[in-house]
This record gives sequence, structure tokens and C-alpha cells, in this order.
Amino acid sequence: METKKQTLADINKKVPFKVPENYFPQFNESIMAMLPEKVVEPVKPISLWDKSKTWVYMAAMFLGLIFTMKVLVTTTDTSNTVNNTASTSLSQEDNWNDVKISEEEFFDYIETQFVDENYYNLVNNEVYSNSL
Amino acid sequence: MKKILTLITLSLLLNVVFINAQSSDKSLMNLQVFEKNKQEFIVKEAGLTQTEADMFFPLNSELQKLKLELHRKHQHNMKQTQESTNISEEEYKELIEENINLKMKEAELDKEYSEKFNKLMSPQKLFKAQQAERAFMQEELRKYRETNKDGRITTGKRYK
Repeated sequence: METKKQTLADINKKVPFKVPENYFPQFNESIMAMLPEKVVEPVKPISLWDKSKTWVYMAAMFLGLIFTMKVLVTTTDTSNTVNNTASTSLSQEDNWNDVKISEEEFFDYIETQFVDENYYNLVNNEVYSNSL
Repeated sequence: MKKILTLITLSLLLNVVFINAQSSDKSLMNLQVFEKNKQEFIVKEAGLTQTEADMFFPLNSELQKLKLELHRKHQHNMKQTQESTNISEEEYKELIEENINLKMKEAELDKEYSEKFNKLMSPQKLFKAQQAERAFMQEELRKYRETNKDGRITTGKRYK
């Protein structure tokens, strides 16, 4: 059986492919013509709510926390008051309900009123003996 | 997502700061309980009768409230002066005078109420009641300072 060998010389540098006429100049137009028509969706405007909702959520969270804290503090105070009235017989004049003062301020006041020089002498002696 | 996480972290940090600030600085003194315990202690230590106690404590509270008011006004003035950047010689002079005036007003109140107290019970009982009050206050102060560990020296006679 005879085998026919084809060499480059046989082809004779001839391009075997052909491009249809006006293929490349019209390529873009033909592709665009084949594409389905583009549906342009209207751009949704960003609402004020969308813009501010993060901050609203944060504010709500803070308010919730503050409210919870207040409820917890008030509940503790109320339970204390209930316990106190059950066992205390303070008269109207000396119930101290009208005075609001922080612990720190109150004890600073106590220190100025009820801590006498003997007390400081005792303190100084103790400090001195501790430092030896 | 990153923004949300940052916001959450920030809010948690703020909450911690808020809660700490609430619990440490603004804890109000429960004066009702304090007064009740003080009265029980004084009655026991000085041996006051019910009638004596009923007359003594309202008067004593009245005095303490007046002195507390004076103290608070004085502290407010002191704070205002200390916060000003340049304290003039005149302001220092005023501070010293205010300090003396406070002591004088307190002494005047003590004198005024001492006469009222004298009418309520025997001098011995009154002395014992006042000593008991002082002892109670010192003990409460010691306990408070020790609990809060604010670096101040806390000692004194301990009552059980």
C-alpha cells in the first residue's frame, strides 16, 4: 500500500483557510445584533432609613441597655427599701429621704466631722510602727 | 461587615465604660439603712430609752443635715477654686477665710444644738450617745475605706 506524504513544499505556502467577506469589519455589529436587548433596571435611590438604620439600631441597643440597667438598679433599691421599712422605725424627721449623696462624698464628710486628732495620732502611730 | 463589627466592638466598649462609671462614681449612699444601724448602735451603747431615742435622733439628724449642707457648699467652693488654672493671692485668702468660717458655723451649730440636747437626757447619757455616734462613724468609715481600698489609711477602734 502506498502512502502519500504531504510536505510543506506541496502546500506551497498557500493558506488553506478563508475568512468570509467582511467578517472582521462586521464582527462587532453582528455579535451585538445577536445579543438580547439589555434591560436597564432603574437605580434604586438609597433611602434615609437605609442610610441611618445602623445608627438607629445602635441607639436602640444603647437605650435598651440603659433601660435594663435602670430597671436592675431600681429593683435593687426597691427591694432594699422594702426590707428596710419592714424593720426600721425611723421617724419622718430623721429618715434622710431628702438627702442624695454619693458614698464617697458622705464618707468624706464623716471623716471631717467624726475623725478627731486622737484618731489621726492612732493612725500615725500605726503607720510609724508598720514602717519600722 | 467589617464596619458592623467595628461598630459592635465600639458599642461594647462604650457600654463597659458606661457601666463602670455608673457603678463606681455614682453609687448613692443608702442613708436610711445607715441611719437605722447608727441609731440601733447608739441606743445599745448609751442605753437610751425609747422616749429619749425618739427625741434625740430627729434633733441629731437635723443637726447633721445642716452640717452636711455646710460641708457640701464648702467642698463645692473648694473644687471651683482648685479647678481654676490661676489661683490668685486673693482667692487663697478667701479659701482660708472660708475654712475658718465653716468651722465657726459648725461650732455655732454644735453650741446651739448642745443646749437642745441637754434638755433631752442626762449629761452622762448624752456624752455616751455622742461617743457612740463617733465610734460608729469611725468604724463605718474604716470599713468603707478598707472595702474600697482607695489607698487611704484606714484604722481605728473596732466595734463588734
